[in-house]
Amino acid sequence: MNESELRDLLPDERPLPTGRRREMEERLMQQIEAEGKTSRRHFRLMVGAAAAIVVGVAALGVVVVGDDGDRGDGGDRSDPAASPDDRASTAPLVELVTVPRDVMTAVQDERNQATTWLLGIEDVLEIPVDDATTARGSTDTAVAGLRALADADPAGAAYGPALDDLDGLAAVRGDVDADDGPRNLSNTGPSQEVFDRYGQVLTGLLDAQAAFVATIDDPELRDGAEVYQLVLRQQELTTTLGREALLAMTSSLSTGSAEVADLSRLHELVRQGGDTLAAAADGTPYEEVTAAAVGELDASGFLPAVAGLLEDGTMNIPDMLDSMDSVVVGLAAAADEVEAGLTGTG
Amino acid sequence: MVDGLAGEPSDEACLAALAGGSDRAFTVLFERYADVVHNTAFRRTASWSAAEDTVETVFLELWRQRQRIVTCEGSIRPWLLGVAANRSRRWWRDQARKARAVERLAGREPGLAAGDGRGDGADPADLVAARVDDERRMAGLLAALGALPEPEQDVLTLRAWEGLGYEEIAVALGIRVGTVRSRLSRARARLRGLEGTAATPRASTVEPPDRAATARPPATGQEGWT
Repeated sequence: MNESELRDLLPDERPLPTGRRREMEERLMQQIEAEGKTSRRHFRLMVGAAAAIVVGVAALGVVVVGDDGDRGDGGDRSDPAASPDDRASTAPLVELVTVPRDVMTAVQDERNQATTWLLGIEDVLEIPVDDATTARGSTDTAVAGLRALADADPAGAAYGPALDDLDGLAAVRGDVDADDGPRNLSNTGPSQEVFDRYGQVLTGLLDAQAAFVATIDDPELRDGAEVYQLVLRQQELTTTLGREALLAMTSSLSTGSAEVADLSRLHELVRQGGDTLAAAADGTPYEEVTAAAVGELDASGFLPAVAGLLEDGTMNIPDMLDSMDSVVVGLAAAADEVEAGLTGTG
Repeated sequence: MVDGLAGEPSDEACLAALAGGSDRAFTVLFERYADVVHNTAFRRTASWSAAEDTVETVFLELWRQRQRIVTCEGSIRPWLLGVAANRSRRWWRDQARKARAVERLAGREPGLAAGDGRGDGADPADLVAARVDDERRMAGLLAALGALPEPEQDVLTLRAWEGLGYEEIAVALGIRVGTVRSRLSRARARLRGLEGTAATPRASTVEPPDRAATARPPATGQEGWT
């Protein structure tokens, strides 16, 4: 067959159905209006630092928005030399590496929904999943999937502690439902506590994933899985740092305070995370895509923005959020590429 | 004249206006390229329904990335097609992920027996015989092309089906022109080897191939399907 014959086999082109086209255009314009011209940026500027908490919660949605980001890239993502047999033999291991990302995303969505609800702003902000039933259902489905996978393979035992932690989400949900505080911006204490508890579960999951990755014998798979795990961890760290920085803006930072210490520690973790990620990817098929993500961390100005806050207590919130968005989008794209390579579909 | 745009503004003029937040620029580009993206996405997904969704996400991305878009000889078409390819790839990956989760929970081996996303039953368009026929034919074609490595499929389909030049493909895929050439060369060689296996003759109605055994679309992430 040649290209001409290949072309001849194509079905005829079709225009978008007129009704769908109009609907689509209207919906796009509405969305653009919502997120562009009146702009998150303008919204942030208008409400000012007092609404940093709101913005912080909104920014957390970026984790998922970023996951959908496109970069127009198409570089090499997989090892074309890997045979189907090779892939078949490593498939269960690969799933044990990649499926936790489903859980991570679902828990992040649930965390966004819960923290937003506690602040009474669930109708104000656009978050990926805006009702508790759906968010929790998605988490439960993802966790059940991971559990089934872990139970089916002895190597899955590494996820035992993380699955126990995930069972503990029932208690967090109970506390969210039972919260009798005012559902407004003054309810930041419970919101922050809930955020932290979800964060601990996510950290446990990432730790379990790292422990599992360390047990993989195949060096090529292990190296790729390590890069993948580090990308996901860096994503979670980045959004946590962004939120902490925003919350810090609402309180008066004082040298030596616990907030400053926490922020400094997180800042350093994210900075080191970039270095660690680059080192781990060095010499692997994922070096290029990882370098792009790490490069975004350097180029975006995210870390300097937070550093500025630590130094003199000031930070341009819209700029910091934009830079964080760039970093998270870059990391999500890297995770997609590495996952495609690991599964042999890239 | 609105936003500095008059008559039939060029893509670059539209992009410049878009960067300033021009609604009209966005509308012009949407009108100009919506059908192009629609058909490209269909050729990557074999689903008209998925193609429609892809148009929306691609144009939203156009807005979001408006200050970073790379043109090629003044056109944003390669960039749009690159994003459409990525979106389609993500669609396949999502379909596979959903299928895997369902199968896993059901205690079965991953497969494509149901809910594979092609010709989504929820799509009213499936009621239209011609569109269903398109989807079947396209699915067969994609299955045949699945014999090629994904990077080669990317280059080949952008060349043969979208008519992009080497530089445009390089922009769309974010790779070097030399890489485009080498991949296309290999893809053509492999394509010649597909003689007699290629899908379905034009204008005929046939059943799709056994997807569980053969389906592999170009440039997609259908993990767990092989």
